[in-house]
Amino acid sequence: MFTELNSILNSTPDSFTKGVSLAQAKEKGQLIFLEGLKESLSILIPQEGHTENQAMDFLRDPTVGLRSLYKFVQSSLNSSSSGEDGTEEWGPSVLLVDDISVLLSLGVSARAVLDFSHYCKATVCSQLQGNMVMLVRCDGEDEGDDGDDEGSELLLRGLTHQCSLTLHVQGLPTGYCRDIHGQVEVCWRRRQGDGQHTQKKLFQYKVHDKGASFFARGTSSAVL
Amino acid sequence: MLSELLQGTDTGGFLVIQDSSSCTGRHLLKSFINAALNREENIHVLGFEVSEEELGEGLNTSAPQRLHFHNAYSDPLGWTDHLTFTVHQFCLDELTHLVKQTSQSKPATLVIDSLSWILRHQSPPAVCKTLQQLKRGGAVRAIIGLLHADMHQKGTVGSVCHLATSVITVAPGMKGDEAVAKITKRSKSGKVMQYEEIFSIKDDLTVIVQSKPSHLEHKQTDPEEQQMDPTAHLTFNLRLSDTERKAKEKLALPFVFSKEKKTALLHSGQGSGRILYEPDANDDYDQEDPDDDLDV
Repeated sequence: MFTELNSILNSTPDSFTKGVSLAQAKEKGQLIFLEGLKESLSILIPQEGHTENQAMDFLRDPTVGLRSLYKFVQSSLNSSSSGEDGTEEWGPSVLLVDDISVLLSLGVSARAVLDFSHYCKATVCSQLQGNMVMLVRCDGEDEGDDGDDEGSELLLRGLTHQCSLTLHVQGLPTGYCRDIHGQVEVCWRRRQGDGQHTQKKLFQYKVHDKGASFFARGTSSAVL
Repeated sequence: MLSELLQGTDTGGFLVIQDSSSCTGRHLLKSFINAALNREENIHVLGFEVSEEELGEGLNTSAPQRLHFHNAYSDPLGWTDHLTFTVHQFCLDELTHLVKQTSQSKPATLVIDSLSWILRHQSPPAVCKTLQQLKRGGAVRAIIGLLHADMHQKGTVGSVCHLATSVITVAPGMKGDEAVAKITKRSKSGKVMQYEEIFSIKDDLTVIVQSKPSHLEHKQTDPEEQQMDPTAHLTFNLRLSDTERKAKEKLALPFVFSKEKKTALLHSGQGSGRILYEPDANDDYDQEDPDDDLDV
């Protein structure tokens, strides 16, 4: 199988026998879920008796930046990794952001989003030795002025500079296919420890109920 | 040229390494740091973008007292309560104080990772002013900065690079581990030289230049190409002899109305029809030629 992907996924599709219950994980405290849509209501339609969620402060004034959102992330990570009495100690933390481009549409500048992702990286990756995964949308259109401070292109480039691995997911250029859902280009930005210079690789993938399988182009089981 | 630059910038030198999201320049920056460490220089690193552990990977650690990493990565904006270097401290006084605190007798080399981080939070004129003051002042001997050219407007990139004595632009090469470096070097006399080299960086951060540098002088006007003679190398004769040329020049063109043609038309020759005009009482007979004022 693909050793590079295995090192990222830390599993093979063959081992997806049991599923993961998110509800249970949330109850146990393993999963902390910030549902942006729901929480935004507390700021947009303030009601008596309901406290506002400070993490969504940027909705009131996007120019303030995402410092409050970062504080939420920091406090969530600290509470889950401190191992208080009676709670289980979990492994390294993972921060998943789905998706960060929405913040741009809410009026936050690309600059502020990049500051937020920098702080998250410093806390999650460097301090707590965890991992961070962010979903960012790129339209794929070339903007004429490459110095556009507010554009999603600037955010994408900034995140690319900050990260150690990018997965560029696209649909197939030939259109819809039942057995191949798309292609993913994997780029390693940091040098790998064993000196291998595998910088970019292109795979095709298919999404299952409990995972995804990857294969080299043209070797889908539907084709071979 | 890359090897020469790695061997040490002159005092007061400012080197900018430009990169893009498709090819990172940090490995080359680390090579420069390593080369300076091997020369037993004092290095001060302003680390905004990556942590000390990540930047220190692969560096020569035999003399840790020569490499001073100033942590601007954990809290560059003062959001938490760590007392680390913030981006707002990027000004001449703070930097001079920072460098003088820890440095020994020799002036240090200042490495900035990265200038793009600072430019995101300070205006370009302020950053350029600080850099120029650093260059002139005696606190640091040389400055090396990493700049992500695709994160700023062209004017900003241009302004910062204008201050630099050397600019290395890194781009992806043909093979996986190779990269192309376009180097612009300004000498003290004002002469600008440009080079292009293919290089790769080994695991111990030594730089191997793959090809001979191509040396391009700053643009000169092309000498005018000589006009090709179209009548040469033909199977038929297009040239004129002297008599033929004279006859050609004498020839009256058919639709040019010269004086000779005019008199020939007006005074018809023998045997051709004549026009007899006898004016009426109503006619306004003017003896003058009405077409005399025509410039034909």
